[in-house]
Amino acid sequence: METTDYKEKLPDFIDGLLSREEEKAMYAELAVNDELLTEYKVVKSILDTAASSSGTFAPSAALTNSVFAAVGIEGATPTPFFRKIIQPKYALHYFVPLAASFALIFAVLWNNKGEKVSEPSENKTQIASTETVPAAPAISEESKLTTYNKESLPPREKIFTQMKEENPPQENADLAVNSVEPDLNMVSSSDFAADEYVDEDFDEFAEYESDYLLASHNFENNFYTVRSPQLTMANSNFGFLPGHFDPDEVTCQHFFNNDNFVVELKNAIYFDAENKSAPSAKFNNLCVDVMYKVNKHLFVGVDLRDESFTVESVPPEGIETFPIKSNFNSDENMVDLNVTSVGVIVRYIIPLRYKSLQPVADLVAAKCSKGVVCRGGVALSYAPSNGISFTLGIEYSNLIYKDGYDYASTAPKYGINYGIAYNF
Amino acid sequence: MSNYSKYCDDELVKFVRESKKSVKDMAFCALYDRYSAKVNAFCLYKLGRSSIATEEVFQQTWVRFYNSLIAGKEVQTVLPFLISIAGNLAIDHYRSQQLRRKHIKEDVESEVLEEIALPGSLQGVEQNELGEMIQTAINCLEGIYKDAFVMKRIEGLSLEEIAEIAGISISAAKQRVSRATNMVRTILAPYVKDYIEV
Repeated sequence: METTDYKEKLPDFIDGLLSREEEKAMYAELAVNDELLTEYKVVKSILDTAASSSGTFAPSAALTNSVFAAVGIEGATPTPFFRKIIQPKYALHYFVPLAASFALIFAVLWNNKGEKVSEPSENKTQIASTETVPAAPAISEESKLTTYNKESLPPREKIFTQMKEENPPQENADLAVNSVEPDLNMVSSSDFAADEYVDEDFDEFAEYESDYLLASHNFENNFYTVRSPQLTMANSNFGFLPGHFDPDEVTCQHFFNNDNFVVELKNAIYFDAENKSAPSAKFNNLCVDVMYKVNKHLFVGVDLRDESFTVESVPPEGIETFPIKSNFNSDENMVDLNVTSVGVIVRYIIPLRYKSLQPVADLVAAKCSKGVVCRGGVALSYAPSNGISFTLGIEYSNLIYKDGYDYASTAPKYGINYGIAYNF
Repeated sequence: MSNYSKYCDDELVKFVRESKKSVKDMAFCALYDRYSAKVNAFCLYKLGRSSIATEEVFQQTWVRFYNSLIAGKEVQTVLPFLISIAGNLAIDHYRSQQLRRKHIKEDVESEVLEEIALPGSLQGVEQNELGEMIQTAINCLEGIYKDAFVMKRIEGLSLEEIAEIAGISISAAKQRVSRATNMVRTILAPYVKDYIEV
C-alpha cells in the first residue's frame, strides 16, 4: 500500500475497525514511516480534541429553563441558584421567607430604636464643653440617669457608667461622675479630659465605696462601646463584672453600637441514621447567617443554606419499588434531595462566658422548595480578637415535606458544624 | 438533584412514561442532564451560530422527545432518537428558510441567510485554537459528512446509532465517518502539524 492509503485508514485504525492483517501492516508501517507517524498524531489530536469538546456544549441556563417550562417541569432544574430564584415560581420558596426574615429583623430594630431614643431624651442634660466636671453626687433615689447630647460634647467626650459594688476596684474609677441612677445601679459621667486623671473627682468618687466605676477611658473592648446619632455613652470591659450586673442596662440604652451585626459562614457535616456522610454537592451544607444583635443575649437574622436531606422516594405508578443505587444510603426507597433554604435564625447567647469562650444556642425556621426546614443546635464560640470569632457545634435538622402520597413526611438529620463569624 | 442520574436510559424513559409527575420530572431532568450537551452540539453544528434558530430547534427537540415519551412512542435508544428529532427539525428549519428566500427580496434576505446558513464560531468550542480549527473544518464539510463527523467524533455515537439516525446501513455509516474524518484531516493537516510541532 502507498502511504496515502495508510493515511486514509488512520481513522479506522484509531477506531479499531481495521482487520487483524490491516492492523499489523499499519503498525509495521508506522514503525518505519515518519510521515505516516506524523499524520497519525494529527488525526489522533483532531479526534481527541473533537471528543473532549462535547462537554463544552452544555446549553445555557436560560435555554434549559425554557425547555423545562415548555414541558411543564417544576423544580429540580440544574439551573444556578441565583438565576433560579428570580423565576416567579421560586418566589414563594425563597423571597417570601427572606422578606419575612427581614421584616422580623426590622420590627425588632424598630422597637429597640423606639425605646432607646425615648429614654435619653426625657432626661437629657446639656453640658457645655468648657464646663468643669461636676463632683460626684451622692447616690440618692432622686438621682436620674443622665444622658448627653453628642453635639454638646467635645469630640473626645465620653460618658461612662458606674455600678454599686461592695468592694470596688478603685483603680478603675478614673473619671468624673456627674449623675447617679440608683435604680439601675449606674452612675453616668463625662470625661472632659480623656487622657487625664481627675484626681479630685477620683477622691470624691472614692468616698462612695459602694460605687464601682465600670467604664473608663480606653474603650478597648468593642462589645459595649456605644454610639448613636444623639447619644454618646460607653462602658468598657465587662470581663471583671460581678455576676449580678447586667450590661444590657447600659447597652440597651442605645440603638447602634460597634457590634450590632454578625455575619457568619458555616459548614456542616451531617450524618444520616447509618452514620454515613451525605453526598457532597457544590455549596452543599454551606450556610451564611446575617444576624442583628437585639441585646447581649439575643441575635435575630437571616439564614441561607444549601443542604441535602435523605427523603423517601416516590414510587412510580405501576412500579412497586425502584432501587436507588445510592452510595451512602442502603435503603432502596430513599433518595438524596438537595435544597436551598432561606429563613430566620434566632441565636441565644448562653450567659456562661468564660474568657473568650461563649456557648450559644441557635434555632432556625426556613423554607425551601420542597418544604419547611426546622433546625436547632448548640455551639461554642471562641473570640480570640475583636470582631472575629469561631464556632464549633452540633445541630439537628428536620425537613418537613410532602411525599409522593401527599402525606407530610419528615427527613431528620444531625451533624456538626463549624464556622467563622465577623462582628461589625 | 436526586440519584436519578444513576438509572439507565430505559428506566428513566419508563419513569417519564408511567410515573407520577414528580418522578416524571426528575427522570426527564436526568435524561436532559445526560444528553442536552450532545443535542446542543448537534444543533449548533447543524444550524450554525444563529442562536435563535439553534435554540428553537434545541427546545423543540426536547419538547417533541417529551411528548413522544408521554404518547408511548417506542424509543430504543435515547440519543439517536433525540438526534433524529433535532435533524428533522433542522431540515424543517432550512426548508422554511428556503421558502422565505423565495418570498423576500434578496438584498434583505441575503444577510439573514448568511447569518443562518454559514455556521460561525461556536461559543463552546472557542476554548482552544485547535478546537476552532476543527470547527471550521467541520463547517466546510458536506451535510451528510458533517453529521457523520459530529455524531461520531463529538457526540460519541456508535456506528449502529448513526446508521439508525441517518437511515443507512452500518457499513455506509462507517464509510461516511471514515470519509468525513479524512476530509477533516486533509483540511487541518497542514495546520495541525505546526500545532503538534509547537
